Amino acid sequence: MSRRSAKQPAKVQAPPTGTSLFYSLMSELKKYPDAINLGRGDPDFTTPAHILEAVRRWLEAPDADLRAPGRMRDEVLRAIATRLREVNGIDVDPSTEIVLTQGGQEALFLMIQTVLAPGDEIVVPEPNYSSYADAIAFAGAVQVAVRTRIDENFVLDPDRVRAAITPRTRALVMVSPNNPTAAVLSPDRVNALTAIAEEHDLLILADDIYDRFLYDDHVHTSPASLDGMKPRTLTLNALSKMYAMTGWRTGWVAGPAPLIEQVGRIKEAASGGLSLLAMRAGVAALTGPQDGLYEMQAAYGRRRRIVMDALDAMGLRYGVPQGGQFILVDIGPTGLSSLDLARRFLEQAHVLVSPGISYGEAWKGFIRMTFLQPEPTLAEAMRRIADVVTRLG
Amino acid sequence: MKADSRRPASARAEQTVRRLQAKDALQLEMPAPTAAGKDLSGDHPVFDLAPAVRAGTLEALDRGETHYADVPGLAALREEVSRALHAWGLNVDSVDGLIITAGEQEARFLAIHMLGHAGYRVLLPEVVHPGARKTAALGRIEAERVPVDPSTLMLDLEHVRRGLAGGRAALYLESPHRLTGKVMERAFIEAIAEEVTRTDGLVIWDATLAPWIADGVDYTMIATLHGMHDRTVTIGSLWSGTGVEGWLAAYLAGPTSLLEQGRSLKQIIAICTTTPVQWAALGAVRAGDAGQRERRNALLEVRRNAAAHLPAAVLPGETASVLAVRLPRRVELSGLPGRPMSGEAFGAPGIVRFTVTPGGEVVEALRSLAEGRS
Repeated sequence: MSRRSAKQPAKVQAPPTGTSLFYSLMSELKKYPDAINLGRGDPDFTTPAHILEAVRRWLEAPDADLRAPGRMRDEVLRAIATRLREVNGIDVDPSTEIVLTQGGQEALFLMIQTVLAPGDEIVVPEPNYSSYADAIAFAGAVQVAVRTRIDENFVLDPDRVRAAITPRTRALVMVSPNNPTAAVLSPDRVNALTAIAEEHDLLILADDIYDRFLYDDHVHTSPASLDGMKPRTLTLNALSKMYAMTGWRTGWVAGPAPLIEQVGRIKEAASGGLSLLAMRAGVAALTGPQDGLYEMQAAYGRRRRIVMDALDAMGLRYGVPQGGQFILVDIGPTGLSSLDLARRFLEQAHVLVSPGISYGEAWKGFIRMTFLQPEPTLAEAMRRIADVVTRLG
Repeated sequence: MKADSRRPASARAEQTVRRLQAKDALQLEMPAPTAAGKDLSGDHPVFDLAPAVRAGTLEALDRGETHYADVPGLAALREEVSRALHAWGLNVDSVDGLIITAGEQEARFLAIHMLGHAGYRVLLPEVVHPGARKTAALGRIEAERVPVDPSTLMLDLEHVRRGLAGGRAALYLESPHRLTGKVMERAFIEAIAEEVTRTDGLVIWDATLAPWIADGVDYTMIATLHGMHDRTVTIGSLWSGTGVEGWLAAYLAGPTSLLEQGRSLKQIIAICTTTPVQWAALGAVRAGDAGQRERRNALLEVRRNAAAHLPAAVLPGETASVLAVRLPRRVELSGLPGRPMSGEAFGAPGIVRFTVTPGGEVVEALRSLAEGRS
């Protein structure tokens, strides 16, 4: 190593955030060989074989241009536009109304940086994925949280949204199915919320990332598909959860051309383009067979039942997952804070869950669990958790 | 339920667009990562995909390496990159001193914002890669421009000194220069290092074009100078000449004390760099410099042949992959042969940058320019 300078530069330290809190727990998970991760949102399924095969064939094709995006970008944009029309009911021009992103994470970051400037306010349902707070803080804006309640199954209440709006409010975030609550906004609820956005001339940031994972009779409604809403709505989505492609980092933001042009400018500033390899995989995923997705949908339905039955047996209350891949559990009866209980699960049961404190102080009485493990593993995790809860009395 | 295009656009949306359009730096034109065919505006020439890259990718797919990687990147890749950087005299901790990024622009973003958001003024040369100015337009960082010598487009010590004088500053440096390919001389770098240390400053060092520097040219990375390791973050791409430039993989290297915030930012903006791309890059890095000297020399030959058509207009540079020309007259950029990148986006109107590619298109472009055919 080189010698240190006499005058040592200051350390540039990351402030503790919900995200970093969770990742510090995750790094501890590696200590346990029999650990089960019910914390991170990474599906256990492998990327469907036909997608891998398509990438393989492309890499081995003698005439493939593996070096420049050109045609591949057009192909993936067209595939996304088709998906938006067929699944979400949103008509977009692929050449001007979509920006490719590194998964949903970058899509979220870009949307926030596009609509917010320092001092602006944005209404966000709470609890929420902690990266919202990180991206809003980066922009120097203010997150106005609208609390959802377990006795309402965590569904966002329009009256509380209306009450949170001030003259500084610029946008409303709508996440359905929600992470971490798994609540789904019904068509009526989406109508009511978009009406408020129109009344106050707010932009809508729609996070549709779990739109293919719905349970019971719940349906997904994209705000941008409603009459007149497209000009004020940016919609994000990604292939990560849909096709178990978290490592490919293929996602998008769609919306009206003038706003999307600016999303694109910010994308250029943040990371330039999207990897050619990620584009190729994206084309295969969106245009190929969808059997892998259907298998995942069915499996998540079964796993959800395993988790709900186990929690019922433990006497713990939770929001019934209407969609998504999560369950948010009220741990009040254990008498422990979410961080203490998460640590206890980790140390005694070797199971990682996400402590509610990472969604904000108000959520320290909750934990989030994913059902992204095979059924036997999930059942084993729930058995171990139940042992810990039982010992707590 | 189809959107009704007859409805008026949202006033809020229009206001948002206008607000962003007013940020000139954000609207700057960016070069594509690669130069393709007759378009010589991209940042990098690309060669055929190296067999090691293809093999690395295919093997990763066979193993099912398609899920999230660790935020700073695959441990094996970081170890190999650390070893490779050691050959340039850089001592990098592969665990906490490296972040694998989704291309060089993301590395630039992380470097500028991790320091800018920590309260450092970011000092950008007046002539610099547009990606630096563009990313500095985001968030809440304080960016200042440092004047350059109008004839060489390089920084001079006096202006650097003045910029650093206000304290708590991070100086952004490119060597080789991203517009001209000019390499900073060691004595100048030593003088800058002294000023940075004296003012307790930091440096962001763009070494992306270093693999294209002609043999025999003395190249010094500022992080290798006494006391500068702890004050420098270095950015570069993975891995020049192996055909993966369009796949977007790069690195950010620096002391662990500075990179902690970078890892946090990387998590916020992307979680991780595309996993199969990281395995591809690992194949490339493991293959080492095989064939790079030949590729470099081939490009240098092309560059010499092109420059011979307009010797007085070509700006000095020791880097094989770029060639900057001071235009003899005002011309419409779109009409120029080879469609070069405008220097205006770099802060240098009247200059254009051609990518030197193995196909030799730049020779014809400069011949055409010299003969006044454009």
